[in-house]
Amino acid sequence: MTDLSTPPAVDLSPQVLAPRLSAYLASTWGRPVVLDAWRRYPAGMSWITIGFIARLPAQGGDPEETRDLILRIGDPTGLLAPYRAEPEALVLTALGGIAGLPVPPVYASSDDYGVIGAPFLVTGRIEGDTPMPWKGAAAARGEAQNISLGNDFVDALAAIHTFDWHATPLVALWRDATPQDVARAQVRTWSRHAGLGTPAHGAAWPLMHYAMRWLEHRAPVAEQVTIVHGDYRVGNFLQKDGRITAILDWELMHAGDPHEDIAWAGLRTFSAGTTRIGGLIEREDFYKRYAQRTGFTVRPEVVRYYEVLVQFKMAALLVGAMHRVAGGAAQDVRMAAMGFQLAPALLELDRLIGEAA
Amino acid sequence: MNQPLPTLIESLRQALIATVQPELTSDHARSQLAGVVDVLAKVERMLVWSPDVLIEQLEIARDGLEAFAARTGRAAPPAIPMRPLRHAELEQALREAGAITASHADWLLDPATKLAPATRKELDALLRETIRGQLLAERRLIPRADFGAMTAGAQRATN
Repeated sequence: MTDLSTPPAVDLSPQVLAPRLSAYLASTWGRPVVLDAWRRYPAGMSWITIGFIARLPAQGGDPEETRDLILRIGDPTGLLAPYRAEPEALVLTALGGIAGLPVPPVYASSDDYGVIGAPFLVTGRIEGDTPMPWKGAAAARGEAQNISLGNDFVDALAAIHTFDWHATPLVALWRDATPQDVARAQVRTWSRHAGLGTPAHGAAWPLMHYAMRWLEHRAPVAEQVTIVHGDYRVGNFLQKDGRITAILDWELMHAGDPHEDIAWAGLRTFSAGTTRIGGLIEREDFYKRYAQRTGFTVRPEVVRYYEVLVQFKMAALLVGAMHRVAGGAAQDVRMAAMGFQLAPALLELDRLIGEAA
Repeated sequence: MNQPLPTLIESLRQALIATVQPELTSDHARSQLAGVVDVLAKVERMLVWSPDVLIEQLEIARDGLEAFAARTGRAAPPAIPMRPLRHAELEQALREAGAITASHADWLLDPATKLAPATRKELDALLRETIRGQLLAERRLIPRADFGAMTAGAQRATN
């Protein structure tokens, strides 16, 4: 299980955070910088997200500059702590500039707790709002936006999955990923997160234990090992005028089977109360467009396996939230609310196992 | 319920004190929050989960595991004492039943376990029905979470 001993909290007050961060950014950018206009966003339930402005006065030949930025902090008490910023910085840098795959530019990152008290990432702020996956959202958006967003949603995923990560620094993170093991590696990751292992460990949630064994024994060999975003869904991109402007929240990315992202995107939880993937696009249309863009064949039986795996992951996240609350390590009150969703999540897991069996 | 009430309420109090209180901007809001934190501290020692759902879950587990044991000769569920059980005893009995259920899953899903396909399917259905019944008992008590409200404000640009 993840270490749940209570870590020191990060001081987010601007009077403490600003001098720490500005000193680091001035050193990284080689220019003095003044930070202000702090605003914390409630989006997401993992990293802390704070908007701010960096003002860089004219220096030498460089003109005065204002940067509209986002600070993401890997809260030591967060849902997936302990965090690392470097992998996300690496992947965003590697994917920058790819057509059809807008990602925020990275300005700085550090995993040194001595800088601000936690790992952090500074990216550019991108214009747009965040469509949410909750019930009724798809109808409220309207059909034209659902179609254009759905197409962008598929195209960006196809761009992620066809990117050759072997030719980038990401290979240092994922050199051990093999087609034979990527599914089981995810089962191990989320079993560990939920504190599973022996029957005694699974006593509180027998279905989690059952699902862990089910997934271990049925793990498919991946036809491709690609970048997997790990949290690819409505709610994790920005849009403006019906077009996606940025794919966000890369903290769960890893090397894996691309079917995993397809299964996660298609979970009922994110369908906005519709039968469509993310409330945006019919499943058949998604698969067809995705196959055209990637040249991969979407295998329904593999999607069904991964639907079980990602629902297992969803339940493991909820168990992790409960562990943090029980261990006194949770400072986000929403984690307490998450724990109450475990029974419904497990019933959905049971349903998906029944469909895949 | 797997969330102990005292730790759950304590986490609510700590979250309010550590992350909400510093951001309040009026004396009225601060006084209201102080009242909420104070009431939470008082009820923390007074509330217990209803034992009804634990008893129902335990009965479902016992029936299912007894049927499984009768078919396979594997471990039966622990006997439930014929006296009113304290909350902690109910939780402990349920955990013991859960560990047996998980152990049955290990055995049943192991490819090395030799069973006729029809028998395996029947036992699998029995085991999952037992687990599902306990989950349904718990879910009946839980109102739907409003994660939309919990992420409100996300509609402006963030990344």
